[in-house]
This record gives sequence, structure tokens and C-alpha cells, in this order.
Amino acid sequence: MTENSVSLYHLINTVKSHLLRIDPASGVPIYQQLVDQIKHAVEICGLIPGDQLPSVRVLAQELIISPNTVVKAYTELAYEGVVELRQGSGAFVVDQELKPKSIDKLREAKAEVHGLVEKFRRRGLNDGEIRRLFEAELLATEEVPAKARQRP
Amino acid sequence: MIIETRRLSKNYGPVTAVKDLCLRVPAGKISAFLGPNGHGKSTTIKMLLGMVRPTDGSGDVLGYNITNPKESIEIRRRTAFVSEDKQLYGYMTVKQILAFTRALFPQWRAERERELVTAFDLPLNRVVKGLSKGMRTKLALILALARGADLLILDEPSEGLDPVATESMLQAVVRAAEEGATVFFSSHQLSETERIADHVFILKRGQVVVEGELDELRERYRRMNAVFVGTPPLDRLPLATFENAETDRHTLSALTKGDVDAIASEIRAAGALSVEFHPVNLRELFLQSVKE
Repeated sequence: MTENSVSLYHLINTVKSHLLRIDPASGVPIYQQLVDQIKHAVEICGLIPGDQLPSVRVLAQELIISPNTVVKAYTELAYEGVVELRQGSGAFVVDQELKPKSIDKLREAKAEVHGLVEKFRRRGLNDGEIRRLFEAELLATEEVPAKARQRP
Repeated sequence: MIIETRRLSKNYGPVTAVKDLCLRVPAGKISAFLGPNGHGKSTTIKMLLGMVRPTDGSGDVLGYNITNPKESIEIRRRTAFVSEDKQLYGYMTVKQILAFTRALFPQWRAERERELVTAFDLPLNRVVKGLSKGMRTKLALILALARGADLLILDEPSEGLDPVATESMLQAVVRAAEEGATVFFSSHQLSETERIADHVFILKRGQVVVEGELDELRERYRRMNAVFVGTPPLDRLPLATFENAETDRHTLSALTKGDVDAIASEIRAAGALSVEFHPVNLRELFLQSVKE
């Protein structure tokens, strides 16, 4: 077995069973779920620069989704600079110089969220209420301002 | 377009099965053909294959005219088809029918055949007449999927299959698409459709009521829930942008299409305290679209 096939084997198994969890009934496009989850995998270093993503055929068959969906996700990831598409050999995670910074950012934010959640709990809010507050806030501010900003 | 119909219609006596149907099935994609029972799916598929004569209209499959008997032979030759009733030669054994079909098609994928026979656990020496409905479906699927055809038309391919066999079937369909085949399948299984379909057609009373790339439909439609102080003022709301608006005391719920921002500001202007939009899945979209 070549080195390449070993790492690919390893990747398929981890990616499939741990990192990629597709929920077709969520209403979120599947390619978008793939993009988000692969980005997340890169952020938490589940995928590191130079790692090869499974081929379109392998991933489509593992997850049982349309190969066109995988192509769409990889194209989007390449457009966003997360992966690089190499002719004939597949998609590879790009070495982003920004990455250490983004990990620090996430770590910092995580600590802040932790503090905030603890504060709410002390005030007597239960976990369900806190979760709904976060979700409602994201829902209310996510799409509308993002689009509004694009307008002149 | 691999399949294209122009105002295709079929009447059975006074009953209209298909009415002015304009289908455009893109090449190299997996397209799902959905609709309630008896709304014209199988009739349409049979017209595409030249097995039922249209009352009116016309169409092309793989560039061949469906109403020309000679050309429709070519369509059937080049299309792998699994029919709703999964009709097969009853007197042959599974082994014989595989050998017989293999000999007919030069592009036969022997390896695919072996994989599927194993995955489906088919009894090779049993005569077809003695197979259960699920096994007959499996056999019909092997015959279609191993052919190496450019176009697969599958009429309810998962009907009667257990979950394990369904998974193998879907995997084989995905593989065929990856090899460049166009897949057009009808189904009632919305969860599996949602996984593999690129494109969706929803049929109601012989006409397409919703059509498009599944991702695009997911982005276009939203479930809106709005809460008002009193009863929702239906006369002041932009009802044209809604489908199937329902009210319950202070709340209004509807399927919206298009610009979420514009709808939200109109609803707020009409006095809503809160407006929320949620993604819509295929089940919700389907049930709303075929509602009478």
C-alpha cells in the first residue's frame, strides 16, 4: 500500500464517521453542510494543510449523496481558499497563514461564551432558554443584515 | 437536455392523466420525479419510452422523438428502465436472465453485476416467478444498473426494498451518476430523494407545480412564522408572496418564496411583533405543493 492510499484510507474513515454528518432533511443545502463541516474540520485541525479530501466518487458513495453535490462543495471550498483543486489528483487542504490567528480567535470566543452562559445560569435561566436566546439572536441577525450590508 | 417534452398530454377517456407537461431533464444529473399516486408519473414515464401514445404534444429523449415508433425503439435500446410493475420473464432463473441480458449489451458491467448480486443476496437458481416482490425489484435494478446505459429511468426503484437493499441501490445510482449517466427516477421516499437528487420535479394532477435545482428550492422557499399583538391583519399582508397561509390566534405561518428581507419588512409594517424564517425541507415543500 502506498503512503497516499494509507492517508486516504485514514481520512475517509475519520471524515465519514466523525467529521461529516449530513442531515438531508434539515432544509440546509447538502453542499453547504459539507462546506461548513469541512471548514470546521480544518479549524479544529481535524484536517491539516496538505491533507487530501476523499475523491468525489468515494465521498458520494460513502455518504450516498449526488456526486454533483460533492463537486459543488469542493468548488465552493476552493473558491473560499480552504482547499486547492489539483488537476486529476483531487482536493487538498491549503496551508492558510491565517489559521493560528483564527484558532486563537475561536479559543477566545469560546471562553467568552463560557462566561456568558455561566452568568445566565447564575441569573436563573435554564439551558433551554439560553440555547433559544442564542439561536434567536443568530436567526435574527444572520441573514438580514448580511444582505443589507451588500446594498449601497 | 436529455429529456424534453412539449405540452405532453394524455387522456384515458374522460380522465386527464397528464396535461400540457413541459419537462426539461438536465444531462448528467440525478432528477427526482415526485407526486401523489395517480397524478401521472408512470404515464409520463411510459410516454417517454414510447410505451404509451400521447393524446397531444411531443417530446425528445436522448435526441430521439418519442412519438416516432422507429426512434422510440432507439430510446428503449439506450435507456435502462425499471418499470413500476418490474415485469420480467417469469420462467427463467435469475442466473439465466442475467446471462441473457448480459449478452444483449456490449457495455455490460460484469463487476457491477457481481457486486449487486452479492449486496442484494439474490438466489441465483430460483425462477423469477418464485421471487418475492422485493427480490424482483432487486433483479430489475441489477439488470438496469449493470447495463452501462447513458440514461436510467427508474419508476419507484426502492419500492418493496428493505433498508439495506435501499442503501445498496442508492449507492449504485450515485455511482452511475458519477460515471456520467443521467438518472430520472420517481419516488415516494422523500428522505432518500433529498439525499441524492440534484433536480426535482413535483407533479400534481398531471402538471409540474414545482421544479428546480434542489439547493435552489431550499434557498428560495422559507417557512415564515410571525406573531402579532392581535389577530393577524390578513387584509394588510402581501398574500401574493405566500403559499398556504395559516393563522392561529396571534400567529401566522406560511411558506414564502423569494426575498426574505422584503417580506419581513412588509410583515413588520403590518404590525408583527416578531418574524422568523426557517429552512424548508423537501417533505414540507412537497406536502404544501400537492395540497388541494
